[in-house]
Amino acid sequence: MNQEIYTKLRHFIATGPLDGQDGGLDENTPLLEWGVLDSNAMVDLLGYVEEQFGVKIPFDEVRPQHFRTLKSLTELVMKVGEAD
Amino acid sequence: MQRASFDVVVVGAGPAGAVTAAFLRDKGLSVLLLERERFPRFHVGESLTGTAGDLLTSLGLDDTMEALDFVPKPGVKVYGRGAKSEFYVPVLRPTWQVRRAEFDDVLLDVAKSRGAVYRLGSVKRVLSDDDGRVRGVAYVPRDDESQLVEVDAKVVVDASGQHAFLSTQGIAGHRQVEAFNRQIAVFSHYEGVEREPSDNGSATVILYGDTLHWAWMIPISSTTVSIGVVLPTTTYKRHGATPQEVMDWGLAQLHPELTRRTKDATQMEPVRANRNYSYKVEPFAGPGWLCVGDSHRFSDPIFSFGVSFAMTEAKVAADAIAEAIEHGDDVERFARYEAWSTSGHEVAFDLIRYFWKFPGFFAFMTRGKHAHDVIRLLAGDCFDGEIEATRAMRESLRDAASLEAIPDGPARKIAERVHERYDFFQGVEAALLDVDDDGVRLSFVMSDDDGDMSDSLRDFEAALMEDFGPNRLAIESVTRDAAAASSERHRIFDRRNLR
Repeated sequence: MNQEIYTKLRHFIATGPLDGQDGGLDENTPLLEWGVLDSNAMVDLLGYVEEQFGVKIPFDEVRPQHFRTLKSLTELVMKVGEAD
Repeated sequence: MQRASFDVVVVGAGPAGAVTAAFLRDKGLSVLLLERERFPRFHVGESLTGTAGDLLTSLGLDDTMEALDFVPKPGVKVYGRGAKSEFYVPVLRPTWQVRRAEFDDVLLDVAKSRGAVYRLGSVKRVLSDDDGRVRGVAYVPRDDESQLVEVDAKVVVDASGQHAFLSTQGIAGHRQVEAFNRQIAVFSHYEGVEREPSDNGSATVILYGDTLHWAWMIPISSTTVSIGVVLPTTTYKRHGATPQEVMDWGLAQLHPELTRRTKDATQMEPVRANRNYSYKVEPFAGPGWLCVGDSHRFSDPIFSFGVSFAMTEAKVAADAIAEAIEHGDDVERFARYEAWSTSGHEVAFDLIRYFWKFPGFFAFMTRGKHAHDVIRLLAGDCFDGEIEATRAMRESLRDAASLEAIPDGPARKIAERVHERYDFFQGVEAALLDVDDDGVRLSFVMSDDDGDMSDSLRDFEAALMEDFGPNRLAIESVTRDAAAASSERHRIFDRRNLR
């Protein structure tokens, strides 16, 4: 897993949606079931990914399985970035 | 006591009953159509989907629909939070927005003109044989309430809508509370509403805010728009003491686009309120009887499936009834009708679950490789089995990172069941699971403002206890404070956030 991407994504969520109170957010924290992000906030995250990493996630990759944890999200950004 | 005899008696003359009666007449069967209210009467549910459009064409009603100035429906526009969550889904085939009082009257006329015998009256009970086979109904005619008329019939069709007549009679199964069960809709008709621009001026508009908080705008004539605001019962009371106050709140606060479009609107009728008692009845077919439409199932109305599904079922039910009477095998044929209907409703149900669980992702699904599938599903084509988009949605609905740490076996299975339903336990903030040698303890953390356990939670708990047994499973409901010290447990879901 790419640490730089992970750290940036974690920072975005911890300071944005979680408002600095991240209570142990890690790579395996369930983002949806634990109410860290709803699917609308996930869509905001896409904007951040595009701006920060220059990666545009294709429509068909924008699905819940890729947003379940920070780990899967980091892997998605890596995968799409490499394919570009 | 009077007696009468028909091939089929249909209880309820709304779209489900009237269309069933019309198709049964096409098969040459004698039909008694019973209705307790004089039409035209008000009814909510003004938007149809493509499948209903097809059936109206097959009933020869295209000219009538146009002559009555019903509105051709081009599609559905959805506004969520932010521009990225907006999407538009065109209709797959021509269909309509309707004023139900007039529309239901048109369908009733079709049934009558094809020779269905129509009577106003209240059905009192079911007539059945000693072996449980239904053989008719007894009703009190409206024009002579001192009479009880017994009607013999080879088949009784329950098309009584949300009254669920055969369920209340103990013939069909009991009414099980479903997801989306605790919602209230307030609605009225308006003039001077700003519609979708250009040729989408007659599209249905859906606007959502927080989960399960949404509004519809359905143009029902060249000047009038039906507007409804739907809220969970838990938040309803915060927004007003009367339906009018809740409507005023909704127009002002639910979604900025709704506020903007209605700023110069004039309300034409008093605001009405309807609880969305979402439910299903199983079984809904048996020897000598079956249910069509809302009489066996009603879900979240967000995609306007109600009338269209009722008409789709009416056609298939009429075919099954005609064949069953000819071949004397109604139990098998009605069971097949039931399985076909259930599979269609489950496709629709998972579409609606996916929309509410992942509204942002739903918008992306309308743009990617599943776009055409989504158009098909929104057209009401939910009865063709599991298509690709449905398979993808079901996979996403099952997926849960929170379940992975839970040991395989009964604990995991219980957690999966809870997860499957979790979006719809309103008033429940979290579900926690302890596993030890003695078994599994499941704790529901209730929100502060909703101490009374919902019916859906009770039904759900009963089903879990039945499947896993009291020796291996304990279920408790706790308050938020009591649950605070329990951070070591597995959290199946937790809406209290990480903080």
